[in-house]
Amino acid sequence: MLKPEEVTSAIKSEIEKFKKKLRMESVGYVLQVGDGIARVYGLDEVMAGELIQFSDDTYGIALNLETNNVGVVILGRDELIKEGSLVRRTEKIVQIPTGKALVGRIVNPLGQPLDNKGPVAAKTFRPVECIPPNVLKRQPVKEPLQTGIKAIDAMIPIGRGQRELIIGDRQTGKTAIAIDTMVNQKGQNINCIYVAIGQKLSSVVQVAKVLEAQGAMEYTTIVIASSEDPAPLQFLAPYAGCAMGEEYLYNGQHALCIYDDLSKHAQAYRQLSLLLQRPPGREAYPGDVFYLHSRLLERAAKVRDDLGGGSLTALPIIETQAGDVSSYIPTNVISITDGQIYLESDLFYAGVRPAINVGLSVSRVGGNAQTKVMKKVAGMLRLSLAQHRELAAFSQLSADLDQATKDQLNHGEHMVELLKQDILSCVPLAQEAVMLYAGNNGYLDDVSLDLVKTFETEFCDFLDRNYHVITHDIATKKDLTAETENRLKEALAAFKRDFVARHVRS
Amino acid sequence: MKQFQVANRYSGSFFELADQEGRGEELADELSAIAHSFREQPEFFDLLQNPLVKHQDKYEAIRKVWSGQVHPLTEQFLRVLVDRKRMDVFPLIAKHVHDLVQKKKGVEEATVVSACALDSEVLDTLRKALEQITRKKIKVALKVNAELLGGLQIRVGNHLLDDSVKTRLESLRARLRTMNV
Repeated sequence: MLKPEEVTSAIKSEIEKFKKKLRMESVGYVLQVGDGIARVYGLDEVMAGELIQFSDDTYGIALNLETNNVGVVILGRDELIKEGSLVRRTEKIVQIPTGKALVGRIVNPLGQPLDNKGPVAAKTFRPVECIPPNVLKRQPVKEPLQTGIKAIDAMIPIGRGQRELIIGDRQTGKTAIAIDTMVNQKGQNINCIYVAIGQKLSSVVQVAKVLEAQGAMEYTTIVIASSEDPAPLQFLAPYAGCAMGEEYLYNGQHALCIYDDLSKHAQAYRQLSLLLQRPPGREAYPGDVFYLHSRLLERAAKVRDDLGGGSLTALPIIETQAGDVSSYIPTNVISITDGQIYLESDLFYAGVRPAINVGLSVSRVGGNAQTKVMKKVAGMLRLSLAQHRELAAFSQLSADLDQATKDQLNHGEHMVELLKQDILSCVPLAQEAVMLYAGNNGYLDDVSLDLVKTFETEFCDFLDRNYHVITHDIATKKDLTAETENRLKEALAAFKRDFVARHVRS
Repeated sequence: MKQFQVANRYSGSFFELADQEGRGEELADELSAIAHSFREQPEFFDLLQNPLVKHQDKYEAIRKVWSGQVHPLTEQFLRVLVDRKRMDVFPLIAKHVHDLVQKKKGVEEATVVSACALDSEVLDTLRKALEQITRKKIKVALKVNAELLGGLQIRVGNHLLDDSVKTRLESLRARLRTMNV
């Protein structure tokens, strides 16, 4: 608890130390204001991207430096800014507070708090725009980032420092994957930053509530530029979130940044550019919309061990219109990222959740970012699921199939069933591994489809009670040794006898 | 901001012509006076910009109002602006020409804002001090604004020297807010 005299004395000493240096500042005057853009005359030595202060304490960024005037985007309300009012330089490139003070907080893209937990007392600041680490400072992505979602960890592994796009139509569970991933980072030494761009405030509040309820806010920062915020703030939000992540990256820690979503970000930037009278290109986006996203996502990296070995993983989200991945922004971001998780509404409504389309989803980092045990149990999973899909499409045409084909179809159906997972039911690595092992080796094939889920929960309980050693071994060694495999086989056989007996009878 | 480029061109050529005749300052004052009258009589300014009114009628209006009152060059300049449909940038041009004249004379205008009225002696000291800093001739204009509470704010061109109590209090508040206790 703070004692009142402590506060008073602190303030006293602060006031005594306070001295404002008197010097010439360079100022400007507002010529024109409107649509969140101000044209300013003067500001002689202003830098591109510098933070500008208006007379009513609103801030802006100098984006266009022209011969006679400076184009400033206003980060806030423009109603109180008047023609002819004074504009001051801050002599700082736009920067935001970073570090521990932000953990568990909800802030706007300038780092100002939006929750009522008092001011953000940050000790460190970082510029919002920053040059990404170069080739020499990086190392390949090799450390896995567990999402806790079986389908992703098995087939589309994400590594620390990777950029994996989550793409899909509205209402296909894109944010759900992001939330699950954040919740699963508990105790993994990863700091999460969730950047909400152009979303409804109601949905952002919901995300915040879920994270709070799951205890994920202990290591998470939420940056909000909702749809009611002006476009400049929405434009700034992902860069601000990234800068908060970089603080961890360059200090040898790990961070996960989620940009939800970048299509809204591109739209906000389009609005800005058109208002600043930059020429429009395809779909009226400005020419540098590719660079807009590439410079953001390139900042995700895994740095060399002698530089601390920190990492910043980026999970951008893109919303497509009616499954069209070939429109401008989706193709751009697909080509920038190291792979994508493609979610389909057809699958979603067919009950396959997470609705991941296995054929179109890839992770270009591949097996490097997988633990040994995952590689062993899930190596062939992608291929066999792809074969199953083909076979299933083909078998719809003919009624009588030979036994081998029927078996293969049956196996595939069970694997699809096994990969289904509810939201907020993250699975630890060991459990993922044993279940995939069971599925792959056909232990589930003769269990009826609606019992697969029961099988999973009961088997995990069974392991915890009787074969604790297996899960412990996998979790610590991250490998499936021959010895453990034999034990697992034994456990599966024992459990299955019991399971079949119980469920056939009832 | 195309208007700026336009205003620059027009004011540049007008100033050169006026300067050749050695009447730069006089004509600049005329332009300022006209700009002032436009502010007072916006209807008349609108009339000169109105695309529905014939050029001939606009010339007539200009002749009636200013002929004999202003230098012929100024009148011709107004007619050129009507002809080129650039009347809308006139206020900008007037300001630009004024700036050009000041620049030619090497005089910089300084606005001193203070919380209470200052006597001429203080202003004179200020002027001398500013002349020393900027190495230019300074013309001081005083504005009184009680909101400053105390101290001075001096604006020279695009520069500001701010030592008002108001600003000091504000920056102190900003600091106390982010203070670590």
